[in-house]
Amino acid sequence: MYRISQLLYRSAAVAGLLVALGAAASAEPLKLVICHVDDRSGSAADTGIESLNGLKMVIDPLNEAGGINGQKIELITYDTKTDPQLAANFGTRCSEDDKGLLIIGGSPSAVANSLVTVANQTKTPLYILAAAAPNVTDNADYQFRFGPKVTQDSIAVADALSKNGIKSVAIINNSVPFGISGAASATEELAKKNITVATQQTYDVAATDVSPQVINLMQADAEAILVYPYPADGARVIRTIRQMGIDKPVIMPRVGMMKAFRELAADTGNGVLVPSSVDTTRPEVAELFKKYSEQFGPLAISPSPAQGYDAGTLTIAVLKDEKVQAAIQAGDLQGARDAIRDATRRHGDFVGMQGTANSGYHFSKDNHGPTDEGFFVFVKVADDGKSLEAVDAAAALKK
Amino acid sequence: MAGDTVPEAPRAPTIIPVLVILALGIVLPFLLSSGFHLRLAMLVWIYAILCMGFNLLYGYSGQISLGSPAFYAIGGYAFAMLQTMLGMGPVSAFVGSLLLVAVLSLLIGLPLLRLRTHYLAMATLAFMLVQNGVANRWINFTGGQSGVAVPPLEWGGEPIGRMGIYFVILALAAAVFILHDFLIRSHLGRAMQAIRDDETAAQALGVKVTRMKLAVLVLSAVMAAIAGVCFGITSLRVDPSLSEFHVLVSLLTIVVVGGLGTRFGPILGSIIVVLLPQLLHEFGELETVVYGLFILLFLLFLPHGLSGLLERRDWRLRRTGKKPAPAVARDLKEELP
Repeated sequence: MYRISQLLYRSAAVAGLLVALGAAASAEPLKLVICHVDDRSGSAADTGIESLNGLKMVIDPLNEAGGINGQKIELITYDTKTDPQLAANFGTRCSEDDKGLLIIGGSPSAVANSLVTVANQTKTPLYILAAAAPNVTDNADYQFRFGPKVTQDSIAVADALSKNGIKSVAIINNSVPFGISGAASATEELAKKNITVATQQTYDVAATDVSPQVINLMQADAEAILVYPYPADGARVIRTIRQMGIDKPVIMPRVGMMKAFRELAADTGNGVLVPSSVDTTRPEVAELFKKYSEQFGPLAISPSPAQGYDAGTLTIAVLKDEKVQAAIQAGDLQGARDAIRDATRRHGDFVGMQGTANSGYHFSKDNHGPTDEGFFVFVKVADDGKSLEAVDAAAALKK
Repeated sequence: MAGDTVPEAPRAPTIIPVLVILALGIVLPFLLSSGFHLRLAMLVWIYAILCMGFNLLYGYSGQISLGSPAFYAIGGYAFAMLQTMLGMGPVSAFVGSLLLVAVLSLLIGLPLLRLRTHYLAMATLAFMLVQNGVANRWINFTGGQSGVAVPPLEWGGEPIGRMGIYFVILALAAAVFILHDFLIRSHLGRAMQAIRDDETAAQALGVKVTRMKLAVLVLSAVMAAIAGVCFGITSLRVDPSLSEFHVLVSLLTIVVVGGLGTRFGPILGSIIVVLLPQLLHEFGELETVVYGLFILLFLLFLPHGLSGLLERRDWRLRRTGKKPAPAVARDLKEELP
């Protein structure tokens, strides 16, 4: 009986000590942990690798200079492999095990959607990168997007076509979500500008022969062709279009800029127009890409490094915010996360490396993404796919 | 019987291991240190439910059906949409989603189960692709790639916490696990194995082959739908990724690692497949390579998976004559209706 009492007393003492230690520990300042949760292998690997490099270009120099108030930012990286369920696991791990203050990532829309659910469940701020799905920031609270919605690409395309007096467009898209949602949003935006969709053709992403669909495009005799593919099938589409002698302007949002598409399309890709959220005629943007190439190897224009860089820039501004720092120093994790969300809205009205010099991000309580208007410029594929050139859309689309 | 010398499917005669596993499942959340670990535990059970259906269909009945992810997704979607669109409560939505999947699998099974081997695999794979295409493309109905939000489970007007959700999933997993075990150990399980080994011989022994195959397909689909509902209440969203290739790959990996046609393979395989990516994270860029090597090692050295290793201990002991095995099966002819 005596032994049992002793055991109970000792257990109580140990438990008390642990509680006291826990209380003392909770008063410690929080570590500045942020997580990059994105694809670095699989079909969207380029986007995740490039955005991570862009993010490091901001965070590494800051850490080398001593961090924020003497605290270095700890960047934890997870590879989501285009698996939304794995993304949800890693997002939860970041939030609950790593005690992450902020999650950055979600380039494929499916991965971003998973992370949005995690962000709202765990009340952790999320900076979404390249995801194109329009609704990842619908009724948004903790999530903010740096990549434009696919709708915004469509607005830019419809605007350029309308300004050049084009009245009829043919659309060809693949059967995966990017192709389907791209075509749907383009149809909607073109209708607002009274531009007719002469035909819309859908093909399987793995189809080796897309000539039946391209023949239908030819017969529709539209003034311009809008393509929503993935890189490999995009190359097949443009090759077929050119082999059939169609010389109409071809616009290929996002994918036209990707290295895989340009290499596969080679000379047939020349002249393909792409609405780009990166304007390399801006000196600071050109400088960013020069530094990126020096540090990580050659890279043509791509939105992903710019998105990672912009997300990193805002992260630092937010972490330096007075209210965020107060919560961090008090060891209040949820308080810090809420303060980061609020500070993002306060500091998020800025021109970054994406967008034009007059139009950038506009985060507020009601808007959690880039501005709809003036965010895009046009580039065209040149030099047999080896380069992308800034181009005046008006001249390129001139009838 | 030939099975007395080389039993094809070693079976423990008792339900005790099943009860021990479920008891561990009850204790588990109290040993875990974070909500993230609890989430992983929930995913283990969800994948185990999904794979138990697949195990009955492929492992025990020999029907190479790759349509399980489609039923997994349909179950999740139906559970969400019956609540959000028709205003049903979670219990009625759960029952409704299972009924819907049962009817759908019955309708699909009638023509498809005339096919065998890789023809059946291709046809069911096509069904999965069609389902995924509909989920992606019928944007106004399914929400497209964003999917549908699942209302959180509530108790007394308050959302149930993660611990509560875990026990809901555990209860469903327990029901499926006990049913899975009962079927395997009963005459029905032996009828399934007879179909797997030789349909003509099974028919000659009195097994109603078509009826049995259809029943197992429906049961497997319903189990997949239960897993889909569980995923919905865990993640609060269902989207087309539920029926994409990575789910099928996970399913097949669980089969390889856990053991096809074994009692505990779905659970052991699920533990490995859910936890391994988290453990291999430290390998950085080599993670995928290490994962692949790991699976390769299983294929080479443990072709019957982890569960097969455990269950075949009895088989090995009998071969070496160290210990007489208990009676594995009674005469099939006596058992079948």
